[in-house]
Amino acid sequence: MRLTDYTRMAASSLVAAPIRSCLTMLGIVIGVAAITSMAAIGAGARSKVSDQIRSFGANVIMVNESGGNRAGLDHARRPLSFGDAGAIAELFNVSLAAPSVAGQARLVHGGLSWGTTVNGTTHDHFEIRQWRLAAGRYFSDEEERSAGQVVVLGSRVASKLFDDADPVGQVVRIVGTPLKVVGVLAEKGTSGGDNQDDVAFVPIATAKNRLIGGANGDRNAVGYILASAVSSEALGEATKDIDDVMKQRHHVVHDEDKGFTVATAASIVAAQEASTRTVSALLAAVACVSLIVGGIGIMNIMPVSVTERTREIGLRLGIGARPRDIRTQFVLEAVALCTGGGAIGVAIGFAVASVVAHGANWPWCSIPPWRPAPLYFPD
Amino acid sequence: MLIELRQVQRSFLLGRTTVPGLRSTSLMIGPGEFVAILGPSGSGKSTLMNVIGLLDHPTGGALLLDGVDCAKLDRNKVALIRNRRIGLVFQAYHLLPRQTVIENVELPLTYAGVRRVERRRRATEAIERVRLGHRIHHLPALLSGGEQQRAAIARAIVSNPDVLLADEPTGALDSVTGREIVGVLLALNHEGRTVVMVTHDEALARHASRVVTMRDGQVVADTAQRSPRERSPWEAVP
Repeated sequence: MRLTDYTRMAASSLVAAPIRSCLTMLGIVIGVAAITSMAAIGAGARSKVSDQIRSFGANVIMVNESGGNRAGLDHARRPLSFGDAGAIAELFNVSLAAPSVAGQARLVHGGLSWGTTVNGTTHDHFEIRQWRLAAGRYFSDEEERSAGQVVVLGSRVASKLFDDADPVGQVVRIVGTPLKVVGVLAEKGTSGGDNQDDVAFVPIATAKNRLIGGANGDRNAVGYILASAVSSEALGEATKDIDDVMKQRHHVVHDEDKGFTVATAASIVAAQEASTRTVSALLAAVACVSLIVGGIGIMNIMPVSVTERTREIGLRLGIGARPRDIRTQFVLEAVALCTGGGAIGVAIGFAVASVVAHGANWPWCSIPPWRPAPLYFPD
Repeated sequence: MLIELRQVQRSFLLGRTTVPGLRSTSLMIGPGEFVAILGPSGSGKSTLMNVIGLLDHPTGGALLLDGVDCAKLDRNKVALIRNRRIGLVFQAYHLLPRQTVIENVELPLTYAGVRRVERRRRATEAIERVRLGHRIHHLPALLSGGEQQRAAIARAIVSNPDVLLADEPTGALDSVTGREIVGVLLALNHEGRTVVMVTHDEALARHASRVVTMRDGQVVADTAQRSPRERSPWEAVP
């Protein structure tokens, strides 16, 4: 007997009892849908995290002041400085370093105002964070040196203050200081729940001299330093080098006393990812149980099906079927049920994942068919 | 000799009691014969038919087909004989209810590994031979009892078997339709096919060339009659 005949025979038997076939498939459908949606949602979430890392800047290292030292003597610590940024920029594994200050301020244009984060920084900040322009330009070296009264707006700030009008060339006021808008940044989206586009950048000298004031009153002090590693492979090494050079510059003997932190974007989101990992693992386990139950369902239904069809089997044997033919037919029926149920489950799983992705504003992340689903399981 | 039973016994175990179905039955059926196995209910005629049709194994004695002892054949060989050399017709037709007439008739050829186009051709031919061409794509439920039995006969002959075994083929039919079915069997016998028909109807048995009478699991009479080949195959049809 030919394989096509076996297949046709199995298919016709399944079609002949549609309700029984559907109910048998149900367990597999639910199990596979659960696993697929879990895997796709997990992949979507991870993709979102990757996007966040990418949007923040893949190789970005952030040096921040930390809360205090072992003795709780905040006043005793040394603030971050332009000199620290310069030293970091000199490191072999570091390509750029941008000293920055940040504070909250209200931007005013005409009758509109918008409260946002004002970052005083250097041109390198945009390079480090791979932040492209939607319109205009970044501030120039000359404007950085001379504390030029210029500002580059994030897309959200631009839309809040200028609506659809072109902000470039317009003047906004921050803390009463008029600043000319020279550029508008391209949209970056949210990162860690924060809207990255709700920001305005001014040269660091402008921020320190006219807007925010010197960090801790020290003209040389900066709020934080952004740096970028020469490559993603060098990220770990660069982080360690920065930590070392900072400890050296700040005369740190014990790690507990260092008064600064060196973190990468990946390490920040890793903490966020870790919190979802346990839940993902639990859901994956539930999905696996559903699939096993579905499989056992089919396993139980097939003997019942054989019992129900004893007469048919007898007839088939009577007209010349070999026991092997009957066995093959039933196995093919079970395979068809699993395959059909699996296909429907995958479709439903993707649909559920797509709805969840839409609701959570995640990227829709389907599983390529040539990669097995377990690769997408939570780590 | 086509079919030979040597001291065949078949008993059944019902609880702790052994019930004899066949007691030391010997019988020889030659090629081209039309044998009617006659007897009342419980006489063992269906058991005999099942043994000849290789649907059941004797508990004693031997069944030989063309001199070969069937007890020595493996399950695949037995299936091959059932598929190629024996055609079975049952009282209850046993057509697959969700398959059309032609799909039912094709079934033995499917198990024989015949290609689909060839299967269709041969199945159509068999259906035409039992004069059911107008019902070829109908489901069994849409056919009358006589038509269903014709479809079952078409299925039995589609593999061109040497022997046609019919177990009470008219048992579920009215007398007119029953005679039509016997007419079909006679026509097939006229073509040279061996036909063995189980019946409890003496009138139908009279159409056979030989009547084997059974009682209590034993052959009690074996009578030759005028050969059906000497009569018109449709003589039975009013």
